Amino acid sequence: MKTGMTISCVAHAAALVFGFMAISAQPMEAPPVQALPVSFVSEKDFSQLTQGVKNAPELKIPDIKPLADKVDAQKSVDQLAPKVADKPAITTEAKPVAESKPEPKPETKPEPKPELKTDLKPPEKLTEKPDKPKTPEYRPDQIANLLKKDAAKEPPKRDEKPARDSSPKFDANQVAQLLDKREPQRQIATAQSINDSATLGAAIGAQNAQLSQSEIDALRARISNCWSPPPGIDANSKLYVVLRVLFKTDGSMSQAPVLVEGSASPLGPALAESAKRALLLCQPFTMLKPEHYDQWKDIELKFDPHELLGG
Amino acid sequence: MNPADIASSVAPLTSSNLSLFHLFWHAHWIVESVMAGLLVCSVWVWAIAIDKTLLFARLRRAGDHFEEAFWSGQSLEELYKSLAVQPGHSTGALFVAAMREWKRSLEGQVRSLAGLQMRIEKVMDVAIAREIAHMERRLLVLATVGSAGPFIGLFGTVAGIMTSFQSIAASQNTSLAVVAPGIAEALFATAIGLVAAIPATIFYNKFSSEVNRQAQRLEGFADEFSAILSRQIDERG
Repeated sequence: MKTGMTISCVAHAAALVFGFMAISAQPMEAPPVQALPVSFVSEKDFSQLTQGVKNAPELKIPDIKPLADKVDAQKSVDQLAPKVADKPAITTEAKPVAESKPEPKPETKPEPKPELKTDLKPPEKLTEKPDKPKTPEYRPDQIANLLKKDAAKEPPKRDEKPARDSSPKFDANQVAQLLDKREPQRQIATAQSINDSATLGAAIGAQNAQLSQSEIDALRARISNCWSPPPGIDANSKLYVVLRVLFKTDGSMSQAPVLVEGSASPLGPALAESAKRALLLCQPFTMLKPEHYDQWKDIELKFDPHELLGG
Repeated sequence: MNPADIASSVAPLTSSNLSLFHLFWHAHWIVESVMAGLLVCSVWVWAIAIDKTLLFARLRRAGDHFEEAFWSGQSLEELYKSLAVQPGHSTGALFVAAMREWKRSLEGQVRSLAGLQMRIEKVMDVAIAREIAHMERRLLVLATVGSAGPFIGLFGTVAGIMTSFQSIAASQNTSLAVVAPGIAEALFATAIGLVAAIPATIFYNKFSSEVNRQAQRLEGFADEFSAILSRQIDERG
């Protein structure tokens, strides 16, 4: 027994020493994970991204190009232009349009043009429109100058039209501009798209935050006071209607509200009409603060009897 | 609180020193005692195994040697005289026990041949039983360790995992750096249990079959020898 015990003890001691020395866990080699930088942006921060920075680097024009979708629109119109020019019938039509021009022009043209110029700085734009005597350089701080130039621009254009009437050809670009039914706001919207880099930003910057809850509640209370729902509609009705409302800075509506969406129901038209009536009666909505005008100048209001009457 | 602080305070093991020594040294005392007990069991099992291996090798060699001498035509008296001083074990001891009874019955004043056959068989049975008992000694330890070792190790593992989970709950941190060392310690107990139990089971099976073979050999020799003696008794009677 002694020999067995001795051998066993020695063997175990040897095994343990070997285990202590040799068998130790090596740390697993995991390939380093590439860190993904993540930052949390609150809604407030997000809206403040439009705030301007005074020392922001000047944006290169190629950067801004994709934002101004006017570039694409014009190209397509240019391609269409020959087809229009081929048809003599349209030339006759073009004349009445050109005659009726003086009325819409003062409304539409002066508005988009300053915006257009800020966006469409590239000189090639100007080369495409050689007939327009536009000043290529535009400085935002020289609005007064610009307005003067616009005012100066209008009379010569009226002079051009009689000249064009006499000639069988007409300028396709002029027609293209007439056919361009897009809203002036469209240009503004693209120009205000949030960019990665700091820009000069919105004029009012940080104040331009959000509609506060109290403003929203006040608006809702006001509307629910003014609103007399048509008979057959009460708080339990499942109907609703969404109106798009464009406001002026004083809180009154710049145009009649437009129906955007509504429940399919026989009562739907009556509901929409009553909602429009309520908005017309209640304006101006003075609880909407002018400093937040960007937030509420174009909003969609949902008229839900369950919320407005029941709540 | 910094998770790294928790990890270092709860489990001082880091990946750099996860050796067997640290696994043992930082374990809970229950786990430590289980592991120490299993280590002692393992030492004991191997000691028994080495001892038994040597014993059976010796027995087999002695048995072969004796049977060679027995069947060589050598006088049984001489064989008895050479073996009587130190019979050793196995067949030699059996032969010596039978011959002693034989001589006592023949060389005494009264020759009692009547019950001699039965007496010799009894003596040889007793000798066989003694030899088998000698061979089977401590084999039960192997059986016990082989069957109970995994359970003991499992107990250590369960205790270790319990305590490590308690410390995880206390630290309120479930990162792998906190969880892993305690569980590694606990699993080490099961590992030692298996290390002790597997050889014990193998050796137990091996030695019990060896004991059976030796017992059959002894029985066969006893039968043959009692047949020889029976012939002698009948010739003399």
